[in-house]
Amino acid sequence: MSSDQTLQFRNPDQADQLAERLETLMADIDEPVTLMHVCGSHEQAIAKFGLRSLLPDGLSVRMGPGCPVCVTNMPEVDEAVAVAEQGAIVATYGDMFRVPGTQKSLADARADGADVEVVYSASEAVELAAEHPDREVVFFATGFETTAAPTAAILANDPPENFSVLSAHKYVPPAMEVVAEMPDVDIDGFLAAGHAATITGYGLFEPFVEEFELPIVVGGFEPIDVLLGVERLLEYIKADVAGLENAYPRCVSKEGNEQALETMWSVFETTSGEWRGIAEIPGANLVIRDEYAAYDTRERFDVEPASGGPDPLTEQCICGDIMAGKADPDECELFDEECTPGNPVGACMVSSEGTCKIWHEYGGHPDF
Amino acid sequence: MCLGIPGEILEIDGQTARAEFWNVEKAVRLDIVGDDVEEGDYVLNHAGFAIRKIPDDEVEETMELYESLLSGDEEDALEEIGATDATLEFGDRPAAVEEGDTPVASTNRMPRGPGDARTGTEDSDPDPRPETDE
Repeated sequence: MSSDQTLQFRNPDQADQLAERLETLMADIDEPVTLMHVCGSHEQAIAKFGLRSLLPDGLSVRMGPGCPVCVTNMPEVDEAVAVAEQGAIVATYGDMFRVPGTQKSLADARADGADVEVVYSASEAVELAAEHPDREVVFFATGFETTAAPTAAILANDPPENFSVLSAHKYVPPAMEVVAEMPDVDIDGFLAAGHAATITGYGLFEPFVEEFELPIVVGGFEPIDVLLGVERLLEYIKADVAGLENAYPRCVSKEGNEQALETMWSVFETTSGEWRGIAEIPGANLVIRDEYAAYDTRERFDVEPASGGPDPLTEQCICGDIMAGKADPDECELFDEECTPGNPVGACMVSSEGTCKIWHEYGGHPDF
Repeated sequence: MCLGIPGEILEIDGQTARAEFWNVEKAVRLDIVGDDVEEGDYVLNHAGFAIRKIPDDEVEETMELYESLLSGDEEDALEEIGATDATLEFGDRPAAVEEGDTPVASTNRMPRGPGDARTGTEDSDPDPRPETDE
């Protein structure tokens, strides 16, 4: 493939053509359309390249619950802080380090003397356990299917006895259903994330499309990929047909990665759980099955969440509304005032996948 | 970020491999790659695990795409592979890849619904019927 062809992913002419096509489609549809994507990488592409400036009037593309760090609930952070304060070494992904719990983040706990280590993979957490055989090492495991499958692989592979997992893993499809059913959220279609679908396969969305009669397009992350995904969704909306389409065949198959899925479901099962700021969502939290209970931090430690009220500012934080697609970051009174990446109030301002952090970096509605 | 990062497998030892990401070497796990992987293969990696083997005919396109995507965001990529003190060196792929056959481009995909934008942005089908039973 020549470099000319590679440039098609950023080709301004093609972007303009697609923008024109969106204009025509919106004129045909003749009513406002709201699309939701559920991936921080999509929001990065949209914000960084100012794609919202190409969208015709009446077409809104919002980020839903697509940031695993952001939907990790405060009591889950509290649990991690609690085991750290009980003397365990807590290993976690860098994104989780500064996410506020009810009273402390893991960064605060480390400043107070606890052992908290940032790792980039579950296997690094296991290596940490092997290096410290006389210490309990807890992996505070967060993320969607793309990190849950690796965590499962570690547990299925006889980790050291002093290793355990505090699972805050989340499973996206039930959350999409909850958001689709919210009475004050009117979503006309979903742009699904390519990489989560690398694991799950896009076939996973078939029942959703049937039940909710909403189109879903699996999309890639280049600006043109995103615009193309939006264009595909509008085609379905114009035809008034719910459909499922894979616009990211480079990485995604219908079945997904069966080995990864098998490993994930052999270790985890779903349970109902609170997604920060959004709702209690049936079947959207991944917890460790009884067969692996010996490696479940919640079985091994007394991890009652911290008591006491949260920071009063948290009451004003609208992260939940933002992740449910009900509000944009600039509608929050705290955005870029009391809440900044250096001093975050809500998790959306912490993670590089958080809507507020992305809008802070690039702006959400670019003014050209 | 939830983007996977493509890298070349240099050496395999059981379920662990050494992989190269634009001249940065890191260990990756092969437990859940879901395919037979050999040295010289390219895999998509996320959080220290290979999550997909990249088909040979898609390697070059994938690497170029990522270089384009990551250009200016090298820090994100380095964070993804857990090597924040390293430097990515783009455009230095093994000759075997650069001389490879022309890969199947983005037309290799599932049956489509109406107005297929990747084959041209004109809506060539006057009576689109999206396929719902893929």
